[in-house]
Amino acid sequence: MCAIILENVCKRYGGKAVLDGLCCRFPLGEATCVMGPSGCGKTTLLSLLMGLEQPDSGRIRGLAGLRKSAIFQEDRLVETSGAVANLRLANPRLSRQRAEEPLCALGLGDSLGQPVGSFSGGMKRRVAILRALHAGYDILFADEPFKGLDSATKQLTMEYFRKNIQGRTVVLVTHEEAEREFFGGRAVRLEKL
Amino acid sequence: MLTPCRDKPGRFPWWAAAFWLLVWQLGAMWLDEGILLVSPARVFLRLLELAPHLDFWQAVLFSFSRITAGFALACLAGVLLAAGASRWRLLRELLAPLMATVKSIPVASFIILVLVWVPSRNLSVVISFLMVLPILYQNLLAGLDSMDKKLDEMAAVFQVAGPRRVRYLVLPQVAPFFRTACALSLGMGWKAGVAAEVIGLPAGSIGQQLYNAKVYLETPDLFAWTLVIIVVSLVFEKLFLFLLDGLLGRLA
Repeated sequence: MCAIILENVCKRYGGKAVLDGLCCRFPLGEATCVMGPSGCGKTTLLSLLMGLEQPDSGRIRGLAGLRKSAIFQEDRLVETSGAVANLRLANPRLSRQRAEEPLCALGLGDSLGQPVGSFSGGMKRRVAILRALHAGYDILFADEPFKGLDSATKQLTMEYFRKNIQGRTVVLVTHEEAEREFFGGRAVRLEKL
Repeated sequence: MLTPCRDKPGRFPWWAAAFWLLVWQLGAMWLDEGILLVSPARVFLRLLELAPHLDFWQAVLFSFSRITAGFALACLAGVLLAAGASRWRLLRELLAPLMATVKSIPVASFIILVLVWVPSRNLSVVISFLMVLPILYQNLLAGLDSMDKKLDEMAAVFQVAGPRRVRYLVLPQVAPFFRTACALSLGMGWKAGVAAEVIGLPAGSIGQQLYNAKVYLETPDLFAWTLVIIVVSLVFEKLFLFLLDGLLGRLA
């Protein structure tokens, strides 16, 4: 199997269909952007792929045995722990030194001793991105990962992200065509039902 | 505009304590009946008389060890039962009426009921256990219930399980509930434990000393032993919470 394949996937919430008969494929070893207007089911699609929810009907093939990693819409960090501990939580085999290097690369070197609860929104976002990138994964799900970053930090983080996902399977939810072009991936476009 | 009055954390109003001690001293001097109201100075002197005797320290150790054992057992049982109830609905429903009953039964009824089954020397262990358990259980369960479901999803995706999940996700979120429960129940455990000793009269306990002081109208002894209970209970509470904060700080 060289792709994750969705066949006639349906998902409803309270009688309202969010995904209805969705068929698409996500090739392994490359980035695919999921695009579409707000409320079209992009985050729901990621939840299904991550196994956090089950489709009402249809099936998803090709995910068995794959190690997953994710950048959620919210940061979902352990606020009482430091940035290094958050990275090592997702990947216990990561040494302290190897966890500090990417944090320093994205400008968080001065805040390593502080709990992430005291970080700004942009700093937390970068920790969440680095946690996902260094989790040791086979497939990475990223839900609008660069939202909320200022333009300079966003550029730096996107460069770092692109360098680290070369040849990896990534499903990236984004609203921005520029982001899709930057990562050079194919796109799955969803319509609002 | 009026500025609201707020307590500064950790600041004890010593001047107010001194004021009430003065009121007590003046009241005792005005009444001039040592059996009814003994002065704080007399209580302090009586305490100095009691302290050099081995019996005094044996009584303190007797009560302290049993009440603390009851508290420790309640902590252990509270953690295990809350963890189980948070995971299995059946256990939660099974325990709900039991905890509500234990919480609402008057401590005197418990003491008399338990005395039928347990030797009086171990009564304070059981009573402090029963008083502390529902508070710990309910607070811990509330803490587990309020855990962030989104962090659970994160843990599921990154396959964070077992001890790492407990250490990084459960402990930071539940620790404030555990600390509050301990702060609430430590004093209660002491009060109930000593009350049990006063009724059960185990030989060599603080409760027995209190009872003897009442029977022989030794009001200075009654006040002195009450002061001992307050001091030991407060010192244990502060020390326990200090150590707990240190431990949780290291884990953070």
